[in-house]
Amino acid sequence: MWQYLLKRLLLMALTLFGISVLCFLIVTMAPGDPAAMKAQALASGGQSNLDEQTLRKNQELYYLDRPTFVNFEPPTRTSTVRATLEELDDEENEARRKDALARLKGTIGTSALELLIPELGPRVADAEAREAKLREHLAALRSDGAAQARAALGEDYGRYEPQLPPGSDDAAWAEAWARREEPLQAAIEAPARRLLEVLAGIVAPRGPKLPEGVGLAEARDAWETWWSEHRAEYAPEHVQQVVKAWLQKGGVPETEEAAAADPELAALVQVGQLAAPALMEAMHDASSEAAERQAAFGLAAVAHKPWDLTVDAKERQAFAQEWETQRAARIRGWREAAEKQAKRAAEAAGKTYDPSQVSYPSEDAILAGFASQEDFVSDRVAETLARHRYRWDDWWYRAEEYYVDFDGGRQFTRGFAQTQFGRWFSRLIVFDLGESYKQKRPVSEIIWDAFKKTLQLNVIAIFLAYLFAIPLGVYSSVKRGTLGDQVSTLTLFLLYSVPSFWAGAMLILLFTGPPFLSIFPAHHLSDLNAETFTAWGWFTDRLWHLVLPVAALTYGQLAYISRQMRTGMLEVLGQDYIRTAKAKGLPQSVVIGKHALRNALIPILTLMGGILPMLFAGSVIIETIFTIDGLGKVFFDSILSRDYPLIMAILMISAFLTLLGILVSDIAYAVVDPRIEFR
Amino acid sequence: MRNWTWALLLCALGVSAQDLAGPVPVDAFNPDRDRPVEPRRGGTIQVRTPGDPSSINPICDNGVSTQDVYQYLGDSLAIRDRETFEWLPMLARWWKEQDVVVLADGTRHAGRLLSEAKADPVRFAPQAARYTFAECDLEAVERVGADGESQRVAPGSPEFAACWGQVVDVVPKAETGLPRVRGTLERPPGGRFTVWLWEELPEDAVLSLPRSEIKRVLEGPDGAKVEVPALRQLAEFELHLRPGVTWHDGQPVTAADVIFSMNTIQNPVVDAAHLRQYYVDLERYEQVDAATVRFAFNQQYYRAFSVIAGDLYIYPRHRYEPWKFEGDADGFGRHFNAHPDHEQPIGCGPYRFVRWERGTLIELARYDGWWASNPGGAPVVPWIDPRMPYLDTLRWVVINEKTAAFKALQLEEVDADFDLEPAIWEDEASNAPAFTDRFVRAKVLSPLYTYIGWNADRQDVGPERQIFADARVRQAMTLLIPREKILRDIHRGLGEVVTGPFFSQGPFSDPEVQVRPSSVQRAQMLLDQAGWVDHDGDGIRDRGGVDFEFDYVIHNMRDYHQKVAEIIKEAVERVGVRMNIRKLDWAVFLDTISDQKFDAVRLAWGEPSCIETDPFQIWHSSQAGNRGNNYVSYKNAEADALIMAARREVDPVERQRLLRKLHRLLDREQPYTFLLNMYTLGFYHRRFRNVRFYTIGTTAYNFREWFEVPREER
Repeated sequence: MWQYLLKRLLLMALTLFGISVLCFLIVTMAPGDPAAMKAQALASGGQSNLDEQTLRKNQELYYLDRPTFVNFEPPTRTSTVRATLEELDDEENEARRKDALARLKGTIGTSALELLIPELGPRVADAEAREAKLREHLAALRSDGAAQARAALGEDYGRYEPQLPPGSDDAAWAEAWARREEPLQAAIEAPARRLLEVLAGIVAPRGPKLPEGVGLAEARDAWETWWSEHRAEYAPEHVQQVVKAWLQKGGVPETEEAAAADPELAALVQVGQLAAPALMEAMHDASSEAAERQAAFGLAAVAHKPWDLTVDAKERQAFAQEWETQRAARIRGWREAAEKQAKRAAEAAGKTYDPSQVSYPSEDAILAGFASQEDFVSDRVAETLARHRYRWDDWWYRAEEYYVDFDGGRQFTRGFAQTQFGRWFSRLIVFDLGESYKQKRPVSEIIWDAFKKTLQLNVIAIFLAYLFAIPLGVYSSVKRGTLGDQVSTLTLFLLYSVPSFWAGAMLILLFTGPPFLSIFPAHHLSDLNAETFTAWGWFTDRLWHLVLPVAALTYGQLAYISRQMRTGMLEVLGQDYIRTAKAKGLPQSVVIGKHALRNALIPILTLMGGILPMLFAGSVIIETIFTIDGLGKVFFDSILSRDYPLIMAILMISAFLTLLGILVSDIAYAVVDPRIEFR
Repeated sequence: MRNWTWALLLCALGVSAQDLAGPVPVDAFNPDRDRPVEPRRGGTIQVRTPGDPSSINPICDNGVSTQDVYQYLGDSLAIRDRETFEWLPMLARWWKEQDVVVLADGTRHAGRLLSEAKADPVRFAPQAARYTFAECDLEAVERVGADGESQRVAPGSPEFAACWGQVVDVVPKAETGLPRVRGTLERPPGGRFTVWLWEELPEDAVLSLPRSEIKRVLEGPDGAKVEVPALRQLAEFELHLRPGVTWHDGQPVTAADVIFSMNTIQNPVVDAAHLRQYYVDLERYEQVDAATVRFAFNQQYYRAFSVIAGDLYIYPRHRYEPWKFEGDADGFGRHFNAHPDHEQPIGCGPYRFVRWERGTLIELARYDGWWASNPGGAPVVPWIDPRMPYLDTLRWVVINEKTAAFKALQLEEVDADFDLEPAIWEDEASNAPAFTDRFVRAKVLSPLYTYIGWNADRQDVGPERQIFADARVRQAMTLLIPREKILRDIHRGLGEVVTGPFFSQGPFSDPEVQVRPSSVQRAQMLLDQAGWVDHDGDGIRDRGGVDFEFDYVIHNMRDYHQKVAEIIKEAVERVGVRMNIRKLDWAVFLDTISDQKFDAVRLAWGEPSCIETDPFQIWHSSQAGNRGNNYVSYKNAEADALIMAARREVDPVERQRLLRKLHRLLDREQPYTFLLNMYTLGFYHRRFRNVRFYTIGTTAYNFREWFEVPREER
């Protein structure tokens, strides 16, 4: 049996993988770019207001800039720096240029230094050559080679070409071009100047002190000298030393002043992003929370990120304030509820309401079960830390390539990891379902919130459905053809054909308020003031709220299952062994209850395989009518707003539960029916 | 030059003042309105909402419910008075507005244009500005009296009335930080509380600029040519923040917060594409000092002030710690999008956030540190009662289903519902005394209209099938569609037929444009003229061998679309036109519309304000194709010119003239058949008073001013 189970589970894993690939493919191939969809989920004003940069950034965010399944050239530090340098020289696209500049300066930082310094020489040389050529052309404009020079200038600097009326003479052209000398020179020098800006930004506030408007050659020389003097400070050995010193320090500075005066931290910041891989490793391998915090704090400082795994006094105070607010709201809520009750009571008794006569519950009663400030704050602190850890991992998945030149083995695995599917799947297997486009909070949180509600409804509904359906089915098969059978058949048939949206609406109309009966509530699973109830009051209130939605969910199921039961039972009752049992003189109850029922339950078990996914599925219609934020509604809304992460997560979970349900019902078969065995 | 006032304009155009701006009646729908009660603090309102917002962060979420809630959590720099439309200082205490001129040598002056923009030479007073501030911030003004003596006049004194339109020296109250400026004192059109001061400079400081010296085409930072108008009116703004305003966590609101908010919106990773489009012409913005921000636009745009002062959401910088993402704007964008504060926002408005149980309710409570509140004391600003906001608690209760919502009202589980279906409005129970004794029935028009768009450039068919490219055909369709019947039969008469895209009670709708009555004969005549005649005798009109047959697409989100479609189908089939109704799923429907693969569609446009309206997105030819909002591909050179002129026009009177002209043009051309403006229907409990319904604002009602009357006094 265990072997069989193992086999089935393995098969299941395989199937799930297949489903995930399929799921992924469907979303990838569905019309519309998910990045555009995400941005569009928010901007309803037509696609035209999505600028190119927004789109590109969002694509990067979801790894849509990567290949789908296999990445033959996963980026490394060297290739990233080279690609960013290319973007830095993109004359056509200013946004992209700015972006590259910021990335080199702020994100890749010192990690790029040793690759950037050697770039300086060629760039300056190139600028010098181009400038010499420009001067030559400008001089030629006044001489015999005028036409040729004009053509050459127009070709090289088309964007700056003067607009002169046709037939203008050479002198006019020469003058017009000469007026452009300054912007032209700037354009020629731009690549080298941008690189200088990047370098200065990376090592600021260090670096050679250069006067304003310094010549390119001079700047190059100054930088090369500076680099030869300071190179050792950015060498791997030194970086290692600095990181080690920081990690062994034991304790992070508590205040900003202390941080500013901390020598180890200052050394770390000076080394900059070069320290990131070592710190990240230290954070992952940390044996204690203190060590983890030490590494995270350092990493936050070098990578410019706020996730330092520390919650300072200010943040704690904010949490405490939040607790105060919620506490005050709770007290106010209870008092309001008491007033309302007093008003109702006064009205019912025909007296005038006297505010001074309201009996308010004591503060102790109100705050029973309300978390203490300490617990509340520590919960929030834990939440914050968990968020920080998550952010680090999420960040590192891509950022690693800014800092590390991978070896062959890593590059091979990265070939699969650094793809759209790889990113999605690597998160899926650790149950990270991503973040909803629309609600901007973790999908798992959304699903869990909704699942709690759906589960309550469905467990009760399915339980009730089986509870009534089985006896009903047995009854109508045993009493086949009697009036009772006919009445139940007709009623169930009618029930089965009533659409649930109509039934739900009718239930609300009839039972929830004037002009008809006012027995049950029409919305939500609890009263709005339910938190002011006692535990028992809360429980009965919940049951009270469940009645109508459960009724609306149950009746259809009931009709279906009892029909199945009836058919199954009829088939069994016609069998020889039943006749034998009857002939043996066994009492009717034993024949039906023992011999017939057990065998007739087998087809019902098949139905039960579907229960698991059903518990999860929820009903759009019932949940909408009764304002219950269950999974059915969440799923429906996510489809309408094309919230892909949410859609995919729900699909994957449903697929998993369906497979599990089939497995469970197969096992149940074998348990119920001795003729079936595991193989 | 700018001595016009609304009154003048109204006389000239023969419109009654009520149509444009003016007092909005208080408690208009409440039978108790004639029994005056003193406003007081206290009480709770529970208002029903059909669905949760996805977050309470209007920067990333343009859902209506997000804005509904956020308007009480945050204040803007300035706000338009919902009755007079004048700009009232809120977080900004005062501001100055300047014109900009760029000279051929690249010199840029911000100051005041003194002559006509097209004059030659242009007279320009550099550094001068138009100041806007509250009259209550004025200590006195000094003017030279008839006797040549300098005379000090305090606001409110009888002599003060004579100062309007005169050159005076203003003496502001010391704490305002306003400079002492000499200029012409003026009341903004229709205004009650604020003052415009047109700064005057001595004659020798005024520049006289020949037109040839004003640059036509500017060059961008790297020499590339960029079209930027070199003379632009009201294109630079400097706003000074009110001291002492705090966020709900006690931190002060500073200029850094304003700049941070603007930076955030401009960050391409932040999901604010819907807001970013308003700031494409924003040339630069900067913090001048701790309480001053400056914005400069590179276009002259009538909404410039509105988008920075009225529409800019200001967020607390200290909560987001952007300095920790130095050099990593993308990282900050992601951090911002998913920031936990968006589930429990911190603002600077009259209410602070208390709790949000998703799918159930959102609760806000009055923030006692709100800058404008001063219970029992003097008003901080004359347009806000210092006891405001009156209600202690605002709660939005989610109830999806409309019947359940109505039951909840009847059981007084909720106090108000502004998302009613006509069926419930007409329901006997909601008209019975048992209900109306307790609830007020409110019916108001807001700027929103439904229409049928006729696609002039369908993407998936050839030129011979572009049926609606011809204005005569569109006119004929309008004449055929029985709009009154649709209003009566489908919408139970709860609305009015509209003639154009502008709100009928707003300034831009031309009252001379009449509703075109249905006329089958005239429609047939027009179709004949356009060449659509039944040549082959099969009962369907045709032209060039193509039958007059079109696709009318509807979506499945509301039931009545099918019924409307059938009424139209019946009407057009009578004259030999075949109409196919295509019902689509919402997402597919949207794709079909943006891909322009349809002939006709019924949709609606709405906007929060009837006076900021900019027809550019919907009607300008540049917005056709490429999934823009002009998805019927309406292209008309005259309309384009009117739209662009109106966009640049900072003079409201001239803008009104241009847009009314556009209204008449659209009426002639009928790119849409304009259908109806449906009433916003609402029920609210009778115990709430001081209720007004406006035509501008996020919602027609404003809970800031509602208060509750105890049962005994009703």
